Amino acid sequence: MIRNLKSKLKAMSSSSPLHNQDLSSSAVIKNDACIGVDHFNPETPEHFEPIEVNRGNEIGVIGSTEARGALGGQIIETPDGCFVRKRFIYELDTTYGNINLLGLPASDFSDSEWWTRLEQSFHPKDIVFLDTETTGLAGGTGTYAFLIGLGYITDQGLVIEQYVMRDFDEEYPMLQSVIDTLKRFRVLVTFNGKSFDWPLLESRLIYSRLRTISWENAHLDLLHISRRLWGRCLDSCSLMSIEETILGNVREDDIPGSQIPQIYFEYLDSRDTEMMIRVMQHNEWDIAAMAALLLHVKSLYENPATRADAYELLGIAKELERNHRIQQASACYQGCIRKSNIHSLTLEAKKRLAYLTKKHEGQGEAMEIWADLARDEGSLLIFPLIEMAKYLEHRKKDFYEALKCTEKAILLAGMRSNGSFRLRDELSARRRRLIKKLERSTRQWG
Amino acid sequence: MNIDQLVDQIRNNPEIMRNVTYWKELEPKSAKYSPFPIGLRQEIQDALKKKGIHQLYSHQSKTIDLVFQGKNVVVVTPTASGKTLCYNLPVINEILNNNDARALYLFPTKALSQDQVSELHEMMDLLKHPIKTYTYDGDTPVSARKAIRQAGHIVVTNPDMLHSGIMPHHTKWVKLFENLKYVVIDEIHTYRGVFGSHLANVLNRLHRICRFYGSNPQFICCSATIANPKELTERIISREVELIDDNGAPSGRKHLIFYNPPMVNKQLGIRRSSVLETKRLATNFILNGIQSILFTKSRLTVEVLVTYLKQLVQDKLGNSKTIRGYRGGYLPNQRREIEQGLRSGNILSVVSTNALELGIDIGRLQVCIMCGYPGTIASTWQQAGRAGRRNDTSIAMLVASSNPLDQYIIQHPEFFLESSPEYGLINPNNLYILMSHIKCAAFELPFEDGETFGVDTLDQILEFLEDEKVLRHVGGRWHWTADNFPADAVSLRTAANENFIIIDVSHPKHRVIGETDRFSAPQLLHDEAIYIHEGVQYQVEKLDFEEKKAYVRKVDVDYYTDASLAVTLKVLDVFQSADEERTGRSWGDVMVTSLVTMFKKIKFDTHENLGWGKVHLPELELQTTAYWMTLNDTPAGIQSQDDLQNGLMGVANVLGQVAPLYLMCDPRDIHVVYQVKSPFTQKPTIYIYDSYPGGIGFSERLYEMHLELFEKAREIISECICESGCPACVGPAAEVSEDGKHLALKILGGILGDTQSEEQAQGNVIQLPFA
Repeated sequence: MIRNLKSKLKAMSSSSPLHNQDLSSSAVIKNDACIGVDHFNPETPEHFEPIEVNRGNEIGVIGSTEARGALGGQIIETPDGCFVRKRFIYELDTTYGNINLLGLPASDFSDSEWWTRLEQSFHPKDIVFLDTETTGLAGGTGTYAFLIGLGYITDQGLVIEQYVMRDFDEEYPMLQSVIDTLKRFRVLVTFNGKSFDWPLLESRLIYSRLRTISWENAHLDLLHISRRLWGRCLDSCSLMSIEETILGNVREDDIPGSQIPQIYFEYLDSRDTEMMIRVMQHNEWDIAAMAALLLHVKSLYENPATRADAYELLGIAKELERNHRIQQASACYQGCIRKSNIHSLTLEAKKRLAYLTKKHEGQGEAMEIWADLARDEGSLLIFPLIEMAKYLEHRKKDFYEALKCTEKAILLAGMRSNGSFRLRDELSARRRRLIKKLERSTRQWG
Repeated sequence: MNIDQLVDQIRNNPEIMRNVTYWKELEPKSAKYSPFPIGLRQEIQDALKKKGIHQLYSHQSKTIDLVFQGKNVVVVTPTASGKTLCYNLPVINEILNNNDARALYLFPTKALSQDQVSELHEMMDLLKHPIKTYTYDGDTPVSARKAIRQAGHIVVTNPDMLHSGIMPHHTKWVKLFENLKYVVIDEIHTYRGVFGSHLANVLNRLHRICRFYGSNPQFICCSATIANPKELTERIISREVELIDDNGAPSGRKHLIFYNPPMVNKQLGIRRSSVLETKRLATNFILNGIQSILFTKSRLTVEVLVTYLKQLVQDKLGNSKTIRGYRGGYLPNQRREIEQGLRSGNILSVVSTNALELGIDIGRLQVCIMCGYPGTIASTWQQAGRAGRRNDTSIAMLVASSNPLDQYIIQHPEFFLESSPEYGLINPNNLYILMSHIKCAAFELPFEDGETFGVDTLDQILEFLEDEKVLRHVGGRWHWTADNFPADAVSLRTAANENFIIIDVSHPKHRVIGETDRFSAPQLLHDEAIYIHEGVQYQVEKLDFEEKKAYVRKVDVDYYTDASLAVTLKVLDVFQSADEERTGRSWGDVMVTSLVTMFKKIKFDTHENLGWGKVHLPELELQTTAYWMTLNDTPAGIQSQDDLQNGLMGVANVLGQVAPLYLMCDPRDIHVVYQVKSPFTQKPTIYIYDSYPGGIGFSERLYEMHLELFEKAREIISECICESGCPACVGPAAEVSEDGKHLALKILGGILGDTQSEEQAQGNVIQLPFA
């Protein structure tokens, strides 16, 4: 039925093929040299040691001049095929941006549940960092993770392992090995991994019929933590902008993430490794940045008074409040108010502090803050007036002052073009009631 | 007056009866029951009894029985014959047997899915067993999606969502695909043409995914009456199916009445407006409190009729809530309220587009009036089926418009009644559609060497896609290597071409008044064209070709515009060809190129040429399939090239109306062109091509019919009462010349081999196309 199929297909597609590569050059040739091939045995974890200490330098022998291109690292052979693994270490006293990685192995996460939101504490050596580079950014089962970068902490420093599939037939052995490594750790740390990296990897595992790992209460997504701290002040909460503005690190010659899929496809075609090596560099930076970021946020949460700025203090205070650490929360809100020179930020801190005070100490204690908010030059806020009116009416029985607050609130509500009717109705009801009470009390006394 | 009295009243009203071309009384039918099938769990039987169902209709019982035997089934039943039990019972039964079992329900529209879920919930309440049923479509909140993927026993969705929202993420749906026992496809007859061709491919992808997860679901399908339910279902699901078409549900007495509005202008073939006639006929029922449904063909007509009818009740009763419209564009809540109102009887009359033709539960009404022929026999029966209660008389009326198809049906009731309903045709191997889905399939799971997908030339297609750098062949598999999500680029409801919308900018609030297909747009909607819509003139201010929008403004001028369209058709490939005594027939691939270069302004009545203008629009190319007929010799009585030209034009015009009748398609789905001397065949040739790139399967069917088409064309022309051609036959005489009608008949004589007189033709027994 379908005749001249190829010509029809050609006619159909408006774009002609880019260029016809001689595919024979990409034929799969088994690596014969096998120099330094790490014969893979998942049973013995000892093969991970020893690790040479050498910042950013590769351990082991640079990959052979195989037809799939030398990417550095080792070719790992398994019964199910081979893949490339590159492993190296960031020594302990190296810095990433202005963060020294020295603190990593000794850092104490025993009181971190309140800000990690994981329901467990953990040791630094329980952590595995994960970042993937993929063939697409839209997700779905046709998207592959061709490079999986893992990072973990040893006494010597931060070890980074990069697993690369040099073609689709290397996916299965690569994933097997990745899973074996991941299984040794209790806590997964990613940046945006909850909605991107992990689901994608999980999908690859299901497709490969490999058993997946559950990170229930054990997946710390630094993106979410970053949003809590810097969501208000940074235009973008991307790892890149956090790195630049918070960690003080500017990457030189980094490739934009959006180009990565295309680079991989071109590498598959041409076996030219230059750009791929830059993708691996990008991935390495991402992992190192995550480690540095984790250390940084930890120090912010643990020493807000000395380390955090106004924005960060607000985020930390909210987190403390959420965890019922009222004293500390209140101190952070106050710190934020002190340090802030941004009106809207101060306003929110005051508002939250007022409600916190009202709830935990009493209305009287909050009065000062309400009054402060209402006094604020040019303030059009209605809620402090209502709160004040409530307190004055019900606790102080000062109906006259309460009425004054209410009248002012009504005035402000009238100025709002989009004011809700419910609010106005409520305020009018309050006014009527107060007037009645005031009349009654004057009658009583007069 | 009750309904029976109203029937008598109509019968005794000569004013109405004069226009009735046909009246048939369909006898009541009693129910055929069967006991509950063996294997149906006791708690289900008990639950049914609580609902007052003590035994099943025979078709329900037979279906369930076959499903229990492991068969795929298609049930053909009219509206409201309890078909939902046919699939709900086996599905619930299986879930009660095995709590892990899963089912997928596919409905063509969202409204139907929601209806279905509420019905299932009702059943669950009676069973007191938690069977989780969820709708999963574009409206499902993201927060709820995870739970549905994990825990939903029954996932109710539509093909579009399965295609772009579920299958490309199949690893998130492991529970569903591993345990998928049943796939239910309701209203399967609606999947024909482009939509059906897509669905067949979507289901091929579903089969692959199920194989991957080790499941092999059974299919339970329901269809309205069409000519080939079994064949259509088998092509769509790529599985053998058992057909159940002996309906056991009872029905009351039904009067089927054809009504042709009286002629206002005989010369031009213009009749009284079908909308006004429908209003007149409906008034009587409404004033007598008889519940009715009126079907119209456009959303606009819905609103017009509702406005008329509301005035009616407002005047007499002071309120108008009892008359409602129903069409696409209404909000879901509003629709639910109207459906509820119809069931409870609070709504007396509803005016609807074919949106209410499908199985939404609105109870059963007493009267159905169709304002205009719904377009197919199958739709007509579906719509007529909305009226009819078990023990009550009901009326279904068809009010014809001036449209040629309507006029043919209304004057040939026997064609309507005796011929089988239309065929559902699909062409899953349309290269454009197939290719889209091969991409989606490769994205979902890499193809393995030796795998098949619909066609046996899969290898070649995969190689092509590798050349295009979309796939990569390594290790015996074809992997997706593009940074995009192929399902997003494929819409199931269209082939490659999209419609142009027409926007009226006469008022500050712009509104869409119509749409037209991509290939007609340059001709009808070029800048400065006069576009006539519902009898109102609009001038096109701007045709935005890129955005597929035409902006028009109301005008009142004394001319119309006529664009000259240069269509060239080139045969690319012949698939089948045969030579016969007087004619040749073929079908194959063609390339149609059309270009509009200029237009003329023509004065009404005098047809003076008032001027002309240039049109600057790109040339359009369409590669599609076509059927063509060649004439071996010049027919007797054809004296000149002009005769031949005008005759062929007339025949082509008629074929444009006849072919859709047989193909169960919209007249816009096909185009007819003729060539006095075809460069390819060197003879006079008439081509009928599909309006969709790649074709959707009409050409092969037309090739099989061949001369039958021309017989029917001759019958229409001979019987038409016009003198020398009118829009209902060969086209207006102004177009085909004063002699057009006779020339067309002479051409047909040359094709069919004899020269019948008009009298003979009328006496002819109609040959049923597929009887």
